[in-house]
Amino acid sequence: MHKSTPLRYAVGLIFVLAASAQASESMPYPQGPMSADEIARQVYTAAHGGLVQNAISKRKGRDVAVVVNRAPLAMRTQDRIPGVQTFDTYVNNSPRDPAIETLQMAILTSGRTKGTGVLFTRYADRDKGAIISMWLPALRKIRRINEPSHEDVWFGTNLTYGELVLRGPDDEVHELLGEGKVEGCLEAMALKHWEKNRYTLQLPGPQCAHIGKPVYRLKSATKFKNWWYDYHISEIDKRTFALYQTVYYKGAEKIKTVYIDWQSLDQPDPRITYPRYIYALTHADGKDSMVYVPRGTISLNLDLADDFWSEETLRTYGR
Amino acid sequence: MTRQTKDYAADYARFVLRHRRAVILLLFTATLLALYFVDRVNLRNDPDSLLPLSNRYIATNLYSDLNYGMGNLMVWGMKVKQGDIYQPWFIRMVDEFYRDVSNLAFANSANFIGIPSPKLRNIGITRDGNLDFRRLLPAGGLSHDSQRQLSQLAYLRNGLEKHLVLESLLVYYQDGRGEKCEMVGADGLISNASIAQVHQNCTAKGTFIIGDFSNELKDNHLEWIASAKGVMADYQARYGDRVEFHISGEPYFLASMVQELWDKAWLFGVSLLIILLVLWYEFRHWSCAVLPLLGVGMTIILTLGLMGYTQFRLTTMMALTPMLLLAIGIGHSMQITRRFMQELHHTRDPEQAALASIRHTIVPAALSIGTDLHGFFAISFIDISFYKAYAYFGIFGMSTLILTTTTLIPLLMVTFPPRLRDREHERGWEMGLANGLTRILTGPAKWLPVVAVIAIWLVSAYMAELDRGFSALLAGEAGRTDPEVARIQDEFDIMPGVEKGIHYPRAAYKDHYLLGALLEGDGEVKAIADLEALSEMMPGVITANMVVRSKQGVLPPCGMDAWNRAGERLLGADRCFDELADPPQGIFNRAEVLGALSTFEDWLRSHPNIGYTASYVQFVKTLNMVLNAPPGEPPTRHMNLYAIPTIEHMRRNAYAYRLAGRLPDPDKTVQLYNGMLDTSAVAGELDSFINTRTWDEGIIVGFVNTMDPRQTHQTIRDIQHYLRDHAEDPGMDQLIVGIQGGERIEIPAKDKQPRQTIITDDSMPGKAAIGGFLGITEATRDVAFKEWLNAPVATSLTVFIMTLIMFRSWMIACILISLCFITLMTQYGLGAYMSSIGEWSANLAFHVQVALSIAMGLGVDYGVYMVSRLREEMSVCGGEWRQALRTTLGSTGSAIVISMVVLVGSFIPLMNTELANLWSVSLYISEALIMDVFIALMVLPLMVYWLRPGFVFRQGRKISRKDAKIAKV
Repeated sequence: MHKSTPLRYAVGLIFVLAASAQASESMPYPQGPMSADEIARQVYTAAHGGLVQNAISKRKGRDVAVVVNRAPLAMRTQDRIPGVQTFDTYVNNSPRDPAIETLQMAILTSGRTKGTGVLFTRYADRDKGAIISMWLPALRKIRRINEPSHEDVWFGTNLTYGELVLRGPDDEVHELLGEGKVEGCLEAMALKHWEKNRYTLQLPGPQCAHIGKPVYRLKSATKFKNWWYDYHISEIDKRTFALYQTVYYKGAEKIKTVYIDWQSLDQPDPRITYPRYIYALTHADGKDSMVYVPRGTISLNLDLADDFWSEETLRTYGR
Repeated sequence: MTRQTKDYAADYARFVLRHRRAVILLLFTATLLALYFVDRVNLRNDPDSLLPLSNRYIATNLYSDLNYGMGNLMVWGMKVKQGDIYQPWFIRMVDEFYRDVSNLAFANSANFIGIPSPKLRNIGITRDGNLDFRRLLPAGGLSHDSQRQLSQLAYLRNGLEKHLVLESLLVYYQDGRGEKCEMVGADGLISNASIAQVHQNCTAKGTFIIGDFSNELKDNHLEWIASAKGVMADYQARYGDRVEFHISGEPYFLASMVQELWDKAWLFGVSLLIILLVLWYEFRHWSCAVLPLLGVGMTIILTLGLMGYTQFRLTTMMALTPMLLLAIGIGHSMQITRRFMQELHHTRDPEQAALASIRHTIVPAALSIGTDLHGFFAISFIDISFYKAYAYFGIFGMSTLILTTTTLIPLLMVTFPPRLRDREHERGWEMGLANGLTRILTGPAKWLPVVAVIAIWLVSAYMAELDRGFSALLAGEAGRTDPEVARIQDEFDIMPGVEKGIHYPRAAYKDHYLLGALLEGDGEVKAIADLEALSEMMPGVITANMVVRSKQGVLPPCGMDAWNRAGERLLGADRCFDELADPPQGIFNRAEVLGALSTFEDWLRSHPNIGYTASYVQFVKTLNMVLNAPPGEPPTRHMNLYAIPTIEHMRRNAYAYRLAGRLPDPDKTVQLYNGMLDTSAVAGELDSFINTRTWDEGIIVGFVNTMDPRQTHQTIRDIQHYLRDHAEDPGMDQLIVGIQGGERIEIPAKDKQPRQTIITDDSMPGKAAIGGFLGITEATRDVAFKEWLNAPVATSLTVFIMTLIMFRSWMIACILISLCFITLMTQYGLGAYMSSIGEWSANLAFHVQVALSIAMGLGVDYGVYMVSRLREEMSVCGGEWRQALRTTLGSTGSAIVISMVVLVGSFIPLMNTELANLWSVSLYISEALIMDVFIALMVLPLMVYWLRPGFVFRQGRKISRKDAKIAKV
């Protein structure tokens, strides 16, 4: 039976560092009690802002950023090890052209898509859709694609572009449920022995260092009609506005949980952190994905010209 | 019937009478216990489980279900009555409907396809010339702003009309005359011209939603069908004046069959009422009418209880089992009740009557049931689950009849003795029947029944084309140039006029039924009407799944032992596969293989019986077109790029591929596409078409636009011939299609079902095993061809041996079995007639063939009773044939007629459900029984008289040879 079309060609852009490029100067550190909307804006800024001029994650020795995708439980067999993809990313939060808000570049460094590069240009005018330029090494061509949709899957994971990049605070209605403390470890992908190989051997285990940290509990209901979730409840660090855990609900059913292990980048503003790992688990089928960015791959505020973020770099990268 | 046997019978009768209360209590306790398990009957109706899993077609289907899913597909069709589908209210309705059916229980909503599906994306460009892949219908539905709504509808229309993969599947186009417009051109290919022709000359009138449901649905049929019908009814009520709704699909079909059975359970009550009235008419005592029903009812409950206890997977066909038990049980009940009443008249003592009736009846009853059991016993060896179910539960139920009828009824009648009236044991019609038939059989008119039987046989043979069958067999090797002669020889099809293939939907449902016409007006069966409507609208409503795998196989993924801590590889690329370091493996990473599969798919699409195909190849072809169309130009303007980028294709279309004088590497190009598709799909999205674990196997799904058993067989033969003829083509030489003989398929453990290993047989060497419903249809045909002669022959052999042992007479055994063969031939004739008129609910498909064996087992009963009584009466009458015949026909003969009337009468209500399988099996059994009665009453006595077997005539000769000569005169 026919079921699908190959229409989401937008190769998974690596937005991980977009999420780590932190805290905007235009968003001062908040003081005093905060409303739900203010917390949501702080979280968004913390995840999408641009205090750092640029940030990169690039293989150093054996350290490399990886995305690991594991099949749903029903499809897991002994001969099916999780899929692994390695990548380098380059994020420019302060391009000189005021019309452009950010320039993000990702290059896949392994597998069948090795060498495929993507340049994501986001404009200051949000009404103007972002543009993706994609370098296809086998064809030796650049193709331009319009902005992906919120619900499009990100790089074969169970995360969406909306969750990682596109969704803004105004897309949801926020309600502060209260305050509390992180009560448990942040889960991570637990691989069985037969699922491991040399690329997944170094994946981190559950992060328990955040236990006891004070958090806001924020309920955010989507404004989109017929959406894949109705609302999510998030635990947000009261000091850094790092989003540790997000649980998505459809009706009363818990459908997905996303854990992010935010770690300090030793910057003056506590909001400047990076996601050491993101782990997402879909409860209905057990599919899970993990993005791991070793600290050793990250560099900040390098002396790189804007024209580094170009289609030409995509063509020549790695040669 | 030796003296020793009679003593045993008397001992048995005395024993059960002495322990009367204990026997009654025991039987009632067992019945109550069985009643507890009745509601656990596992009525699943799963055609996949009917046939042996070792059959390669079924194994292929099983394999594709296990690996690719999509085994329980539903289709909803919506056809707008005025205008086209691009009307805001219609699109909103489709959107809402899509959500509602996606929310039905057991829905794999990620696999649903329809206009609102997130999978339905644009394949176009933006004003800036960028590729545009937005959803054709926004997730939030159409806007309420009229301007924006118009723009969204235009975007949807534009996008659908450029969608090469899904437009053909989701949009129904009609021309001005109301005829369907085909998207695929006469050459089997989609081209700019074929698409433009449709868009210019036709109107989009309908759309479809295709849904996938999990197997758990089969355990919850009734709840699911209620909710599915509820959704339909709601939309029908709200939009029925503007939209035609159609629904079909395997889950719906199977579930609605179970529901139909429960809905029409009251017809079983009607059958009981018919039997009650016949029994009352025969005996004129309510206790004589009620107690036989009670006894048979207990047998039915005991059998249903066993079904529930064993959790045997049953189909709606099993509804016939209670009916058979009822009909056969009533026959035995009548014999014992009649004998009890005769003895009661004679002795006026119920206990004496019970003793005598049990003593005289238990042996012939046991022998008769024994022959019935052999009918079932023979079919228990056939590897078809519902044949086995029939056999096992039939044997059990029949066996209990000895206790619940022949034993229990006299015991209960001792407790509730009927009041005696005059002329209890002889009614006028019985004597009339006896006198009339005796006159015919001993006078000049005796040739009439013989001529009638010969005529019926000849007509049956003519209809079945027995002459053509034998001619083909005799044509030998020289005749094999004619494919039909070769087929007849290969399949030993001596009756080519009898179609043995199956039209599954029509085998499940009739197209019209009498009760519907009486109660609801037109009598149209909605399930078939909807299917036929959808069949007209869609490219095809049954699937042909071709599982494609490599001959070579792939290496296992590298584990922890492949590399050491220093980063040195310990297991080489010849031992294990490292996804990140090694060249991609798997045949789907080779352009040559994809190219060969694309050519195969093009051929499939050009086949007249295949309306459409879908496969992973279509993904790659679409992606190739999108990525290689010149920048700024709509990809669909370059349909020539909708192809696999083989080197030949790229040379032919160098304008799109050549850069700096070089063409891309074909393998690397498809590997890039595979990688892109893999990373942009949601979990399981590609896995319905390709094994993303190995990239070494996939599936091509063909939509077959016919269900005619002859055409489906031809289609599968054509596919097999194509694969055989192109087996050595580049690309095709690297792959195999379907499951091979001797393969092991592991079915994982689930719930209470343990892990199971299937080893396939090799009953069709050299033929590719095709899955899907087409494969099931062909497998069913194969089984039918294997059994249509074998099963009756096996049954007749066991019946022959049984009657030989019973009567210790070769002559009697030969007479009885010969007469059975006459009935069998008429059943084949009936099948041939149904085939000739295209009545696919009642051709001789495999589900109907079970009637051949059952009818043979039941039919020989009449002969057994007649021969036994003739012998007895010949002894009593001192060899006076005419008198013996008259008495036999007046007693046993009339009882046989009543039994037949009861049996056929109890079938009539059952034949008035929508279910075709019950109707057809009932029809074949009823036809056989009428024929059996005719033969038993009018032909068997003549045969016995002419052949003068010693079993009947020996005692008569002892008394008077001379009298016998007189009788002959």
